[in-house]
Amino acid sequence: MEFKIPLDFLSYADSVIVRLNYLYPDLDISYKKDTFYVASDTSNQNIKFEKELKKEIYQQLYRAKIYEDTLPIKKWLFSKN
Amino acid sequence: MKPKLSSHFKFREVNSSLLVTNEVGDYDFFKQDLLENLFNNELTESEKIQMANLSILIDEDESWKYFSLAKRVQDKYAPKERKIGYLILIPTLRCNLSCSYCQVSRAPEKAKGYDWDEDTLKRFESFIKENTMDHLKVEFQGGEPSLRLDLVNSIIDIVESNTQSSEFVICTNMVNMDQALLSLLEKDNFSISTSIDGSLSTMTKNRTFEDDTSKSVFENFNYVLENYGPKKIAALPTITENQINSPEEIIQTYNNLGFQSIFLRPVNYMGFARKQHKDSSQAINEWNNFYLKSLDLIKEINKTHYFEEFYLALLVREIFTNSSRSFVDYRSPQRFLNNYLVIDFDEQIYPSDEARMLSRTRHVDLAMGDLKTGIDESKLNEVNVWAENQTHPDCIHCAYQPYCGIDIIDDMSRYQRFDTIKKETWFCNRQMFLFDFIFEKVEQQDREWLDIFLKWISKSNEPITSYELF
Repeated sequence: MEFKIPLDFLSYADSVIVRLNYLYPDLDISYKKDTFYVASDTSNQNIKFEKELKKEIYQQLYRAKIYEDTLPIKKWLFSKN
Repeated sequence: MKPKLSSHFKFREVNSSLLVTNEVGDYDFFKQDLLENLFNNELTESEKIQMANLSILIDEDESWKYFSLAKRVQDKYAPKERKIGYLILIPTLRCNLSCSYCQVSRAPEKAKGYDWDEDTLKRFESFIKENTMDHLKVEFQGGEPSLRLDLVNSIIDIVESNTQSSEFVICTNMVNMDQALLSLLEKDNFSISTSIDGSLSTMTKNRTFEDDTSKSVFENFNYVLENYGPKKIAALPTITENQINSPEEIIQTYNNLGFQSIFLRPVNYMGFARKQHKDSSQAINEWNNFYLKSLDLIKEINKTHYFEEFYLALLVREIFTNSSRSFVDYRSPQRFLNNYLVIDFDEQIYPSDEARMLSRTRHVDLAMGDLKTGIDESKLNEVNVWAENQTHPDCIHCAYQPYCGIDIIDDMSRYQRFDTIKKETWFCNRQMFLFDFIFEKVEQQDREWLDIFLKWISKSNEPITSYELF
């Protein structure tokens, strides 16, 4: 399976790959340039799973971007008095 | 001077209108073409005024509005120094019942090694001296805390001699009501909370497994109510599949017992309930249907006297009066251990009772230290920084975010992680349902419900009819 990453999200790919490999230890997930590659035993694949995986990949990329964008707010919320 | 867009806002379709909320939860309703008008620079004069009143559009010569909004954000969300005002204590994990949904893997009544001892009391006193506010509320949980009233009495002595004022609630199953417990009820600052899940047969199915024991519970309950008055006793239901198809039973039970409030609380997905009530602890649509039917019944009761659903009333007060919410499970940031914590039978400190449950069942260790070594600040911080919706990737777009909370403990229990898509969680679905209910009534100007909301806000059956609040 291959999933293309929007350019704005490329800088988060490393951390997202770590999270995805933790969540799906049976899969081998990697990326090159602007594409995530997922290798697995083909007998375990079905359309539903592919949809779930696609949702998870894009959600994790989105989370990573929002985390970075909002980090100043988080730091303020938990700053020491 | 042309206005400029200067603060964040969020929106949601409610009935045929567009609800818009600002950073702190001020809100207004607009026509659904508002966004199109805004981005085409074609807002009507009335829309401009409404958006200015929400401090979303601010004229350049009115920068004070921006700073005023920022001050309100600071007041609402700024970090606060730890001062514990509410403690849940588990003097014993032993219990004389084995309820079907027990969440803490309670210990058998005769088991050894599940109670506080003299050393625990000494360490508890040191903890109180270092961490608590002038006023402290203590809730005795279990297990069944009435099995160790000697410890309860010792704890009361410690708290009363180290605080300016205090109050105590013992959460007891009321299977036994001995003289020692009744003597405690003579104290002005001591009361009972118990579990009433509905009729006698429901109590037997959910809790006691014997009608005779259920009968004793109701007899003891009525004895306290008649002899000590309604201020001395409260009750909470837990709703399982045994009650979900008959909301009339639970509502009427509470109404007939003379309560003015009921907290419709679904069985949660923890402890024994994960296996024994798996379906009902996950079926959000069934829960929301049950809840809606219950609200219809509550509306009818309010035609004759005051009766509130505790959680909906809490949200109504939060939205329309900005009252602060003390419920750690439903606020954001959650700020665990900031004003509330749990001390277990083995001296472990937890951020909430649900966190204790998850740890007891070995799903995830959420102990944040213990009485011997103190609070584990590093671990606490690791959890706290994720327990807020202000920067949550899904919540930041939600119109209800300023009123909502977050519950990462429930997420961990149900999904083994808390970075799932929020709108797919039980918590989010329940919250959205409740907020939609409230704002649909406001948008419709449904006077029947607005009158009830006013009653709940003023906690009175004869409130001032100030509809401008909405």
